Amino acid sequence: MKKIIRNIFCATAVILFAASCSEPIDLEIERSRTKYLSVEAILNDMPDTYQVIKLKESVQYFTGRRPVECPPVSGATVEVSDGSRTIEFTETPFTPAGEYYSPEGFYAEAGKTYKLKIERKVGGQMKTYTSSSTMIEPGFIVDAIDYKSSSSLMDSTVVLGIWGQDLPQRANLLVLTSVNGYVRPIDKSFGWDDKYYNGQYIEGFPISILEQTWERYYEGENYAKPLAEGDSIGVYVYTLNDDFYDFYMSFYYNMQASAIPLIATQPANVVTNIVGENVMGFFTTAPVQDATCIVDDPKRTEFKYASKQYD
Amino acid sequence: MKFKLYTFLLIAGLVCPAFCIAQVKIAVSGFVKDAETGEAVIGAVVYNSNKSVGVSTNEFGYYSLTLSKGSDVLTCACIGYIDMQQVVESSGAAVKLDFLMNEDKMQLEAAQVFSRTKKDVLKMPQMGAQTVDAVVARKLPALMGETDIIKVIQMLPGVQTPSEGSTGFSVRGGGVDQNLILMDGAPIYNAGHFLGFFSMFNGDAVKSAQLYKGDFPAKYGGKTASVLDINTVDGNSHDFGGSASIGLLTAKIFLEGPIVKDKASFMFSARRSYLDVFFPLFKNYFSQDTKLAFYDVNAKVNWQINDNNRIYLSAFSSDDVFGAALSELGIGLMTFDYKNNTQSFRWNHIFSPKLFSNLTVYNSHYLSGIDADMDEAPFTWNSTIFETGVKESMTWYINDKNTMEFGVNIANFNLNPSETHPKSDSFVNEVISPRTYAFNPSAYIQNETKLDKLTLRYGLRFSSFTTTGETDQFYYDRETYKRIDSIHFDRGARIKTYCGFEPRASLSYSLSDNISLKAAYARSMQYVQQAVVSISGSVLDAWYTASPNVKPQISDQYSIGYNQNFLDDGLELSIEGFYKNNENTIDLRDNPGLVIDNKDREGLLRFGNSYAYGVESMLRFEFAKLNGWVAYTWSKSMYQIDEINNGEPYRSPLNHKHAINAVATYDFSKKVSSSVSWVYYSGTPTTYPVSRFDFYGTQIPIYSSRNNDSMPDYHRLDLSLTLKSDKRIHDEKWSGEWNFSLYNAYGRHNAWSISNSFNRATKVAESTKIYIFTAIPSVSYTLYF
Repeated sequence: MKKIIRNIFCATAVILFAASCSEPIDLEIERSRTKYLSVEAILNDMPDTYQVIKLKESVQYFTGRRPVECPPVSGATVEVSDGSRTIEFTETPFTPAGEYYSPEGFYAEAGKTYKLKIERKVGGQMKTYTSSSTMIEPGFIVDAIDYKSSSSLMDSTVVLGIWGQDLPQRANLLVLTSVNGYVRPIDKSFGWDDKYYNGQYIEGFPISILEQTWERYYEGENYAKPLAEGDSIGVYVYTLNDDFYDFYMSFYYNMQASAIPLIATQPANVVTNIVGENVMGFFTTAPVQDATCIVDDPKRTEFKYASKQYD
Repeated sequence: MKFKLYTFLLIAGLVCPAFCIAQVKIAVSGFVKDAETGEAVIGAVVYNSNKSVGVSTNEFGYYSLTLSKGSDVLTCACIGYIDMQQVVESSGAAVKLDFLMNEDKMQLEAAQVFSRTKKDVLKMPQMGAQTVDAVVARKLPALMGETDIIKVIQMLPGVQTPSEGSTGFSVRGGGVDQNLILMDGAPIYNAGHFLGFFSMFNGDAVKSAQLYKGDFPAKYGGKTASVLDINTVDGNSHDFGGSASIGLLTAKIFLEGPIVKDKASFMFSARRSYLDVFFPLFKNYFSQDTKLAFYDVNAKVNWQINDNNRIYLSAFSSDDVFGAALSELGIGLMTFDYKNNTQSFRWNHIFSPKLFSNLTVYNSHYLSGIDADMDEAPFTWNSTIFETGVKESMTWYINDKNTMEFGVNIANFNLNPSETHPKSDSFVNEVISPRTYAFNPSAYIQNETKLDKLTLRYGLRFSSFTTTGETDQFYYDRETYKRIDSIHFDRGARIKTYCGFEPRASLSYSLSDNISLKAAYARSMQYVQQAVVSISGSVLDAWYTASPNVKPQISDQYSIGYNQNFLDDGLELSIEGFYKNNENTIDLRDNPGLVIDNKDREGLLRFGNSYAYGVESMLRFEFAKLNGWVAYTWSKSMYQIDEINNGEPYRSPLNHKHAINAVATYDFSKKVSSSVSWVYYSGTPTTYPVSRFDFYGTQIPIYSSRNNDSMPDYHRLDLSLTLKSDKRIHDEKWSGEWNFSLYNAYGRHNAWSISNSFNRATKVAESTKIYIFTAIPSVSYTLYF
């Protein structure tokens, strides 16, 4: 469904941006005195990777021209229990501060409920944050991904297509993409609930766009780099429970729609499933599948995988 | 109990006038028409020699007076026409007396906003009502030369524009969906072309528009904020005529003439935008598939069958299509489409000189849709509303002091919230949300009593709304809003009924010939509401009917007013204060996502109250060559919904605390006139982020209170110049009119929206103001024949 939404945004944007102009504006906004703990914690079912939970702190939204990143939160106690055992996530000397890793071999298993507990000192007081999530079954089996270049009135782009079987149970899906191992941020991901495709075999469904002009427009010229021969493109297809999908869609709408008043929703804080004082973010468990393809000709305009299928 | 007693007294008051003992009097009735065209004149005032008895013509130009037996002189007055007097003689039988009014060419040169005479307005108990003449709209500066009656309405006190250029309007803090817009008796669900920048009401086809801001006469119902009752031109019953015009955006044609002279006439008008014609010249910017067009067509036929019967058949159709090929998304062509179609049949029947009947049968169909030719998954989506109904309205001119109106209205709704269908070779599933069927009968009675200095109007409306099958009705937990049950109802099976009384009362007291005080109370109920995703209103907004999960909105409005005329009626001051309280206000929960295709759309709603209060003032000036008005509104509009903004009241996104509208027209000569308008309103409430947090490489904003911030203040100056010319070709008189407009004359970059984003390259958050219009000059030419 997000595909449709994105299409609506884009088509509307094409027309409206053609007619409108923009200019920077300085806003007078009150400073927030509240610092929020942000938790990013998606546990997956990949046995050969480490599970990681990241803790950071919020910052003022506007900082003038001074670049400010959210500072990591170190020294917290992070535990995940599955009812039979408690796993401690720890910071390591070899990884950035605020990143807490599980022991090797720990992964989420379908049907189990995982409980998160975080403790940290704030102003001399110990604060506790808790959450839980039940691991669900995968809703989609990935066969392959492929790419094709495409030119439009705005710019040349690379479209990533996916092939696979959507399973009969209703599911929400999220696709994170990576280029040469660099996982693109979650706002560049593609999420949808499968009500329009439930149980169908999906062929070459466009799930991601690389190199698009609007991405550069918002992110700066240097952010997106054109693909080159030999580059590796990868996807991680997560099956999301309803709560996390709700969280995902809430920030998606907040960020993607704010620029276009005709479709912009009223800005509001994203939901969180973490219980505690002044906390944002989400804890969830999600089965994940991955797939990769290698760029052989960046200018190719047809999906190669599709033609292979019908040979 | 109090309410029941109140209702009883009201009903008793309504019925009593009917039993008043009649003195030896006669009824004088007839129609007021334009002598040149035969067009019915709405809002003309007919009164006797000592002005002790007077009445206004209704929307069909009909009037009825009760006079003492004998001889008297009746005067008919209407702005834009020369006053006309006729002697009436009666020995006892009823008298039929039509007035054929001649235009006052001098007066017409000066734009007159309101068609009623000023003294008449002073005595009317009706509050918050304005009649806007289409002539005015043609005089005022217009965006891209598109004359627009809605833009004039937006310049009135208490009426606010949701966003730059929008033809939606908010009345006294109400939502855009809370305006009942009727065109020849049929409701219009989306009145905006081109995503709302231009209204669907072609200025050529509109005769007049009456706006009621809350104090509705009892015959109107179904909406809580305002009623905009638009009447289209009937068509010249004497001669053929018309006009053709071309502007920067559209080309228009208007035709009218007799079918049977003085018996039947027609009107036809059509308008189409032609920007898309030029797309092939800009291949580098627009693909050949880009669509951007709208059209509207009005057609009307009326037939005077005999002295007592007349029928009208009106049809309106509009369509907006805009689409683009987005090949980078794998989309061949994606097209939005939204269209209105209405038809109405009206039958005027005069049972007796004192009893006038109008029967209206109408149909209104609104559709919004998407057609997406995605490479592997083409689909169509649409959402529709069908409303059909019958209205019978009777006006009983009981005596010289009482006029009673009563009637019934039966409406049927068929709402299709969302249907998605795959196109050929698509793997998209068919997804159809349950339809809503509803039955909405209502009845009303109202009486207007004129005493010496006091005029009273009191009425009662009863309405009910029943949703029926065949459909699947979902039920939601009242705390979690998760779906907990689904029940299938067979065709016609009753699901839920709501009903209620809607009392209305108003009075006017004349302190002197030039000063009057007014007060009004009105309750209204709204059974079909729209939850807006965007404050601007868009095709993505979803309509909801009352249901087991959604209660009807109930509005109670109290208003008081003071009116005074100065300088021999050259200046007219009106001040009104109002307080409005709405129960069962709906709003979407935080981050509702896309609502239109969500089967659980009712689960996205949250319920509470809203209230608004304010003061509206208006100073109108009418001199020989200079006319116009200055209006100032101070108002506040708040929502209080437990699950939104932590239960704290928050500002309506449509509320501008201060609003100033100034309009002036000046006639240099009969052939040259100009107008200027200036708009100011304080910044639109909005919500800015105060801090941010990092989540998987994305900076997610954190907000404080909803609508706690404001966008920059808005102001704009518009100018226009109109030049007329007359020519005689082959003994036929032709006239032309050039109109030059400058919208936003000083080119202010008024914010349409403000977006906030985090720049990953610089690691700094930025705000960007998006504005649509700078100074926009336009020119149009109209040829009258």
